[in-house]
Amino acid sequence: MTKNSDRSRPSLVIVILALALAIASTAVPSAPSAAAPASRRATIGLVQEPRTLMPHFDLLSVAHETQNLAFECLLAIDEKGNYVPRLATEVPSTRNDGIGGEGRTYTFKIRNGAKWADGRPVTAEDVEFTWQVITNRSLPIPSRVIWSDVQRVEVVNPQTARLHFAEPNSGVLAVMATDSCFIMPKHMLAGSDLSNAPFHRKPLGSGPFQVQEWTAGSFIRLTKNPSYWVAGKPALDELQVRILPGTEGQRAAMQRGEVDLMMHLTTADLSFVERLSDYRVVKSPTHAQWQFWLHNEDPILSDKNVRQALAYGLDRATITKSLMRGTVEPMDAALPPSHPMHNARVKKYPYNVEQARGLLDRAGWVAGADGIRRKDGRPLRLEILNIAGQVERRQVIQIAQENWRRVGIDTTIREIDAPAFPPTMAQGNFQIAYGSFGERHDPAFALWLGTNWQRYRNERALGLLRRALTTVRRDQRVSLVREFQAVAAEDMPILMVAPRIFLNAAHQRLDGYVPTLSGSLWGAQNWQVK
Amino acid sequence: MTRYFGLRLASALPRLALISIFLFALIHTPPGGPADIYAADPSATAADVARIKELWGLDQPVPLQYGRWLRNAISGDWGQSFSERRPVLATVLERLPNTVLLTASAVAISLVFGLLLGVLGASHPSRAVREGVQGAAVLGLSVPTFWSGALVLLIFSANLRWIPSGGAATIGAPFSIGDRLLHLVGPALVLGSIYIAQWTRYLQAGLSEVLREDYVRTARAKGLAGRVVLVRHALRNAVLPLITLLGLEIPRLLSGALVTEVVFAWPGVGRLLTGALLQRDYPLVMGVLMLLAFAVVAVNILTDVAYALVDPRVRFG
Repeated sequence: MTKNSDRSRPSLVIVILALALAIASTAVPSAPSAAAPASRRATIGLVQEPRTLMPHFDLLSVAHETQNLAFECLLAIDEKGNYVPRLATEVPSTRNDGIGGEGRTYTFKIRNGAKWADGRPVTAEDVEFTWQVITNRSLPIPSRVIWSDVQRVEVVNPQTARLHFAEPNSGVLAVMATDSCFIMPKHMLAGSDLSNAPFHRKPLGSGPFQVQEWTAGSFIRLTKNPSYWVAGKPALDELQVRILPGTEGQRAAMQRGEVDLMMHLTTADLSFVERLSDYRVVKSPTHAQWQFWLHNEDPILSDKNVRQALAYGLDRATITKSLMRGTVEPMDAALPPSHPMHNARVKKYPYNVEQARGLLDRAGWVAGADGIRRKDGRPLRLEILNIAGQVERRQVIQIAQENWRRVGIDTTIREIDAPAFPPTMAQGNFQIAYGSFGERHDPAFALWLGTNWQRYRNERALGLLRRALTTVRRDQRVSLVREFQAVAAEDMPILMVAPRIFLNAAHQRLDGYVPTLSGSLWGAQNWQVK
Repeated sequence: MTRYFGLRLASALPRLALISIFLFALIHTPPGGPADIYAADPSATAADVARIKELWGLDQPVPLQYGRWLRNAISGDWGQSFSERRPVLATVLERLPNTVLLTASAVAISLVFGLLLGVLGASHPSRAVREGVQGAAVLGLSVPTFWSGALVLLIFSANLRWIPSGGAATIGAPFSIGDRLLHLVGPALVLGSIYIAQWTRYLQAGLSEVLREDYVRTARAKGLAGRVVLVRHALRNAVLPLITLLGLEIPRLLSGALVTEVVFAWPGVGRLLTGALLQRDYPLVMGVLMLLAFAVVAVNILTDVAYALVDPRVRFG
């Protein structure tokens, strides 16, 4: 029997091998070429997929970035951090009468020749319509900041829109140049159910490209907007946005030279990209930072000495050098150095174990036999809240745990998933929490006057920010915000770690790629592929 | 047969209803809802979050929300995805063919190779071959898909450039079976590999046992050819438990597909579910999970029927 069955086996193996070969042979000839993409096409790799391309409905940065290709804002921010006109002909100021009523009116003149992708002109009515959409209470628009302060939009003439505010407002220009800035086409959307319109998947804007095809989970294909207002732009005919969720896939795509721009890499990818001769690493600026929120009303952390001891006891230089691979430097001020209102002359907290120990002694926490400090018989034990799933975050916390143990502070980690983080923080159900937060180019101070998860109650400091919000003169505003940073650094309500940057890998053949605070893709009309 | 099938079908409905209650309660249990996610953004205020909760009916008690969901689901309306702003059913159905293609290919690959290696491992005269197959199967079982997936990408995509770096088809290219197969082969092999190992182990153990049975000896004594004894007598009995196992493995196969889908950027239901869970997109999560529940229940019924067909001892009715 065994002998006979032996004879049967090879035949089956041969059949299967033949089948496999047959499949392979049909597959190979039509294989996509691994050669460089055509010279009039570029491919962008995204680690995450946008959920919708209708502006204002999604806060994901990948959504905002992709919308940057098909939509435009009235203003933008250039690589030097200056406001520049986009759909508007000039940046409103008191000098050009764009800002009036001591900051209560902002006038935007729409560019002649600006058109939607269907050839219809962009008008002041579109600006008014955008405001109506964002402030419509029956739509699930997640953020209405600044727009909700607008009392009315006056359509002065088809090319001029004037925004009226009840109080002077200093945050208008930043919002019109960054996150909530895309102007929407009234003629396409008025009267339709915006919550569920097909426009979410197949939008039409005034930007350099228009969405042709969106295959969920795979890619978004955009082609040149023939009506684009800049003559000869965009230089490319087609953009492909590929969704690459896995690290291995991203790396394989780069090794094969398939992507011209791979966005939002982690620092762990840095050494990999540096080994690829075809790619260069480009840091995309943000005004965000990594930080430890300290619960300022916690029985232990309400003592400023303990908060300052945590700061002196944390070796931030090691974190930025080793984990963040030297891409950033430690920071002490409430706004990162990239921010135009950053104050470099605040109190600094270099790593100093002795100073940290001294502060804890002063606060009455005495070292115990096990090295952990005690007060009234209670050990100095704190819990660190973290969002589960990211290796680098966990590593930062582990370094902090080791550092703080050296000064006699025992810590434990509690991990939760991302959606649970905001409500947990809002309820104050934490002692220390690690994460990132970012402000605008002209801050609305959401970290301090908005969420205030750290429960910082210094009225003198917060009052400075409130005044800044209604101060239209920029130099006065800057000095108020800088003074706030000095007070906050002394109080140590939040332990700042380091600026957060986005790392992108650009292929050498991609020309004209300039990321700014308006995003990585805002200048895609200028891209060329060599 | 029809009655048997009908009875199995009827018992499925209360099961599905119970599953839906359990799932609905489960996904609403963890802290943080779809509107709370917005609170992480500097530009959203507490009032904004409250307003969105009200709009989506999330301010209602969970049993009321479930009642509304069930009423709509029965009438064919699976709701709107909170995040994608389009009907759940359309969103899921768009991804489903990709997942079916991937899992079916993985099952096919694993069955073919599993059967082949199982038979080899059980009936090869050389002990070294038998133990070699066993060792390879254990190795195959211990390698996680994210690792084997990464390896396949590194070798066959990045270095040899035989397969693409991800996706289900070449962007902008006209449909071609060859192109689809080329995108499919990596993820299907990786997903199938754990099951090749598993089927090999089961079949090898089952077949070794069956080959020692009296009736096999009788068949041989009758002078039947070795191949006939192996295929008609021994293999048929050894395959029986495999059918049950296959039915039980389908849910695990779908969850295994999730990892493979991420590694190979395959646009399947698994990735849709992960994204929906991270966004707490309740209608979409419910839609995908209920679809999986349907699939599991359907596969169970089919397994029962297949078992009844293969094993004459199982009677219909």
